Amino acid sequence: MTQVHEVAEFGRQMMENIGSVMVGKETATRMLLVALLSGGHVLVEDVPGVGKTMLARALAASIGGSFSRIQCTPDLLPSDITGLSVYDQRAGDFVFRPGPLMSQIVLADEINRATPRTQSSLLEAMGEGQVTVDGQTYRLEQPFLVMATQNPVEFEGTFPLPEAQLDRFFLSLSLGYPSVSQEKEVLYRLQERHPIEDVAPVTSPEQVRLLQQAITKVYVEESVAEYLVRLVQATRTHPQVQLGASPRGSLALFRAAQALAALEGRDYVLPDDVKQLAVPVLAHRLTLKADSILRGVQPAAVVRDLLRQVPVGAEELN
Amino acid sequence: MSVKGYLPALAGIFSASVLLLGALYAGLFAPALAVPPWLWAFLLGSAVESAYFAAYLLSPRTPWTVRLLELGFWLVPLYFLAGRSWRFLWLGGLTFLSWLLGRDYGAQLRDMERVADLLGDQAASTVSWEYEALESQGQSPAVEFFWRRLAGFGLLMAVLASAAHRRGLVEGSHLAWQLKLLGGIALCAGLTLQGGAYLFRLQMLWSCAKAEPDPALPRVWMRNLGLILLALLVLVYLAPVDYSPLTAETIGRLVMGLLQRGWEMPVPQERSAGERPQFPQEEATYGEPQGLDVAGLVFLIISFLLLAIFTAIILAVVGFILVELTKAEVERLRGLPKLAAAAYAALRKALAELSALLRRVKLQLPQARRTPGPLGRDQGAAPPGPGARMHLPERGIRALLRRIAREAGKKGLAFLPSQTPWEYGKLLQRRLGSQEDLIAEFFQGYQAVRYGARGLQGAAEQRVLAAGREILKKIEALEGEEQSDSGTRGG
Repeated sequence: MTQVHEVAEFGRQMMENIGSVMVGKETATRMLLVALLSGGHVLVEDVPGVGKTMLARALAASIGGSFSRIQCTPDLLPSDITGLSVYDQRAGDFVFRPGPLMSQIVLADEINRATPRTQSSLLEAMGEGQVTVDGQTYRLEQPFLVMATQNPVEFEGTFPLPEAQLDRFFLSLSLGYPSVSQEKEVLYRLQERHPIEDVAPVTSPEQVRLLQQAITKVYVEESVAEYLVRLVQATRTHPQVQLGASPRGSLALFRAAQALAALEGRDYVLPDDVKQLAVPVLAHRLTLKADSILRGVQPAAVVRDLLRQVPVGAEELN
Repeated sequence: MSVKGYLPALAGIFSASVLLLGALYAGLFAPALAVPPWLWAFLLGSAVESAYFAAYLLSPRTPWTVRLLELGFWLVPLYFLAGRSWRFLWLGGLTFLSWLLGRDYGAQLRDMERVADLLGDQAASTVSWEYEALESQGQSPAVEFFWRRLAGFGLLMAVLASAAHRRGLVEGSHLAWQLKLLGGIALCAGLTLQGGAYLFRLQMLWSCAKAEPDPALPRVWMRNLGLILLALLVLVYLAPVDYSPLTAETIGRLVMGLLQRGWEMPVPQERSAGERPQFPQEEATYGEPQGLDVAGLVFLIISFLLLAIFTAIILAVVGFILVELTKAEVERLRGLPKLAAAAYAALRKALAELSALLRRVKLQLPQARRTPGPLGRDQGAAPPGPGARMHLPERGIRALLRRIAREAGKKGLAFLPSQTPWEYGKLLQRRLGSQEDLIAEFFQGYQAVRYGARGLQGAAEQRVLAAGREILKKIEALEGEEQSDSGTRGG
């Protein structure tokens, strides 16, 4: 039986391993591990060149899983990512050629450049863990994680992800630019060769599956669950929000809190875990009202505002 | 543990017992329709077999020959046992009906299992989506199917029983004990089926959502259901049915008498069965009420209050049953069931508040006794000093945090509702400076007690308590420093 301390040890080794490639991205790496352990998918909103691909590759290499990258463009077809059946003259039959989606860690770069049709073909894979080609359903090998990226600045010629698809992403995160010292360290590390070539697996996909099972045993006290639900419900009534987080958001926050607690070696969830995860898990699920968007309000600011308002309910002092 | 394995059996028992009840009552009304004892086996067997077949094997592709063979398996022997006479039509019809009912239940269980196929795993994992999606497809929600049949058959049996009792057909009949037995079986099987179907549906949703609830939940669920059934059986078979004098008829007569004759109260007369109620003579003339006084009005108000209390109690009992059965899905109840659940919630809240009030009074009484002084009540209500602290009934780690928060609150270090305990701990760390390790130890211990499944025991608990007491002292000392500072400033 896999225990919580094994999850914590896994987290430590992964952080160390990925940290040998990524400089100063501990928070993002930790969130990525949370998503991996929860069986969720990640949306990275950031400018090009901050290490998104490296992060995904380092993750895949660290778990010994397969990795593929999809560069999304407007002419990308669903069959380009799921795979297609081609006619084999020697066999005299159609043979299925799997697409890049058949890997365990998939980086869908600039997902908002793909057409809605191609975007939605990712839905089945992300939601159900399977793809259907020519009426045949193929189960995807677990663990399966899609890390999709989009540029938050440039929107020309893009197809913004609809709310239903955004809701499919377990959490969203941003890597951000490194500081001066971090960027200098990156330069020296990459002076001779890229450290990604030296990244060795610290675990196996089978072990990750066991760890995914282990985090579901993490205890969530009733008041923490209630706080979590109140927080999600508050997103639905916030004056600046048109569409709040769905019950899938509650489920995601619940599971993410369990994963984070386990990564920190605890077999119980704290309200602090919920607070720490609220922005990554909930912000991208909110649709703000038009006037709020015009005023430049960010969904993350709304979630942070709610974190300051919703009572944690730790103790009744009166 | 999935309850699906038991539900077809329950559905079969319920279908067979309801049909047998109907057949026995029909036999009372028309002796030619009496059923032989061996028919029990046929009805039960056909219903259980049909329910299991539909739940596990039946599919749209099942050939009609197989279905006809299945039905023939029950009807052919019955044809010979019925003596190849017209009675076969009646007995065979009952068996066919029982078989159909079992089939209906089994098919419903199979459909409930296919919710993920219909809606997709993601949608099925969201209860409200599943509800709305099923409704939009013109289907009734899964559990309503069971509820409607339970209520419908219950009503039908009540009408038959009422008609049979009114005609005096049951008293003295050799079928009386059979009717009672079948009524009990139908009630138990029907309600267990209802509760089991609800649990089964939740298990389906949990499996779609890949949620892993407490494995003991089905056992607890069934135990609670058993308790409710036991209570119901006691109510049905042992409790008096006639709640006289609080019948609508008696109250109506009393009120009418009061309005007509003022203070003089009519005494309810004993009357034999079948006799019509005798209203006072004055009822015939609806003139001005004579001598309607305050006492009459008071009695009227009391009567209404009693009626309201009685209704509230019944609602609360029904609400308790509903809340126990529906648990977290109680918010989805509508209409009268929602009112019953609200009545139960209000009663529970009132009792909890009363209990909290009594506890507070109990806590304050010894303090008031310990600190009698010239300040009287104010001094008694104030929290005792550090020496007396650990003699309070509340001396756990959580109580200690509350004390720390109250004391620190007085110094401007309030524990805000939106703060987590650890955030508050960090605030104290910043303020108390040199006590970082102490504060970390106490708050980590507190978190284990408050949010952990196992809490703290023995030496670890004592260490955390000691750390907490130390922090409390530091906070109280902080007050001294502030006072002396202000004193210095004032001087």
